[in-house]
Amino acid sequence: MGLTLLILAILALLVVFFFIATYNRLIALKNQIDFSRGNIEALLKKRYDLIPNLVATVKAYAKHERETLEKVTALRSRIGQAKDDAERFKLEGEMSGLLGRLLVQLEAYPELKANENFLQLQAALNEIEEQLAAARRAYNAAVVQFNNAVEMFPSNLVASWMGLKPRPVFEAGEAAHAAPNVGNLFNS
Amino acid sequence: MDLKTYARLRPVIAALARERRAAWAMLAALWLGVLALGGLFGAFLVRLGGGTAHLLAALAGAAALAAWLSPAVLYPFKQRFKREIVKPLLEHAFEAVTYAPLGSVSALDLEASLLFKSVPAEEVTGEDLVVGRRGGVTVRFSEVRAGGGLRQKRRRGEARITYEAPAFRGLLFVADFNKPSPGIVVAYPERWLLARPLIALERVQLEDPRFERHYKVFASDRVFAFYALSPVFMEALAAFAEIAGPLAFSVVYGKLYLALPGSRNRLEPPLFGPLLSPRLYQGFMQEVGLLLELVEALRLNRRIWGQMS
Repeated sequence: MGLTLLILAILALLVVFFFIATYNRLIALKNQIDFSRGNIEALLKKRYDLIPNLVATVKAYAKHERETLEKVTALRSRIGQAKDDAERFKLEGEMSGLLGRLLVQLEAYPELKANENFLQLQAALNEIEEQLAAARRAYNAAVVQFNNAVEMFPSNLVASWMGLKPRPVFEAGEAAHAAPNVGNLFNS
Repeated sequence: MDLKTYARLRPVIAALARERRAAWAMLAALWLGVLALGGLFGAFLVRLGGGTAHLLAALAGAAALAAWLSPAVLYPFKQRFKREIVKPLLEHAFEAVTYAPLGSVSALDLEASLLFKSVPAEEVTGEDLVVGRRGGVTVRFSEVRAGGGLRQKRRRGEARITYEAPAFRGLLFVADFNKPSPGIVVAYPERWLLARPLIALERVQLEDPRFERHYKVFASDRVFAFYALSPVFMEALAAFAEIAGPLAFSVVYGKLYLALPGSRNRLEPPLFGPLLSPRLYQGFMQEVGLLLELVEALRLNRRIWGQMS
């Protein structure tokens, strides 16, 4: 009788330890995702603030890129009005692709490349893009760890009790997937 | 090394092969001469009334003297090899290069890398310092030995002589890391089970499974680890580990440190075996070439996104 009770008590203790450890791990993973998301948002805000300067600088030199510049301005405005994070992140992904293509196209304007203001903006945007790429990778790695914990046995038992659901990974927008038209660059 | 460079260097290599034979002949003569003198001295001691022990002691003393003098006999060959073969090979690999066979990266570099426990500067020795530029990135590297050897330690008032393993022995490579964000990343080979960073850093898991198989990464900031270790750079580091073996590396405030452990000096001429084989020279620069591929990966990152020069 005494031995059975002892075994039951040890088992109960093990279950409690497992529960506490898994609970804390899941919370840490969730916080890591939120932290990574915060990093992405800070960088996106930085880029959002730089776009009007870029458009103003480029407008005077690159008249043939009017259409792309209008798209950038319109997309920026849609980002400002986005209803939720999912939509905003999707639009920001499109903005990355659009800006990347614009910066490549602007290589064809020698006067622009001699403009100190533009060079600084280009360097700042490139740097933000690189940091953004790193922040997205960090975010996605955190999400994969979290999702594994939420979906794998036995931690999924605690996760479902906590009401945690798998999170979507950050994907680049359609514009980022689209290959730039190299032919246009050679023709210009 | 390509065949053109080899063909250009072949007459020098042939002359060096003759010089190496002459150095070996001189070395053999030195040993025979010194041992003969030792034997004569031993025989003289025996004649004065000594025993076999005296004869053996005289021979052992002579052998020690010959061993002490041997490096001096081989030194001219080694220096000529480094000057006439290693230097042109390095000039072929770099845009601009300075090679100092007796120089070394500084003890401060080793300490700043945060990879190994610090040792007093006077205990850091090295040779074969190379300072060069490749693709606009400045690099420097040398063979380094930090610490180690016999030490006297006191335990409860009693002096004890103990042997301590070197903190690091191998090739230390330092390159400019052209990324403006401040931060620290330290990585050890996965197989160095006990290796831990010297300062408090967070363990970071990256998304490349091939890279994760070879390295464990610690960083001051998770996002900085992803920022410093771009996919291209991780791929180059994983390829390096698969070809050349374990490598520890760190990124510390704008510098990249790569530490390739090993007791063999990679730029030392071979004392045995065929000197004229082209395969020897292909293998000779292999590790340096692999390190330069890592620099290429860095340069590629900079060209795509990094600072405008």
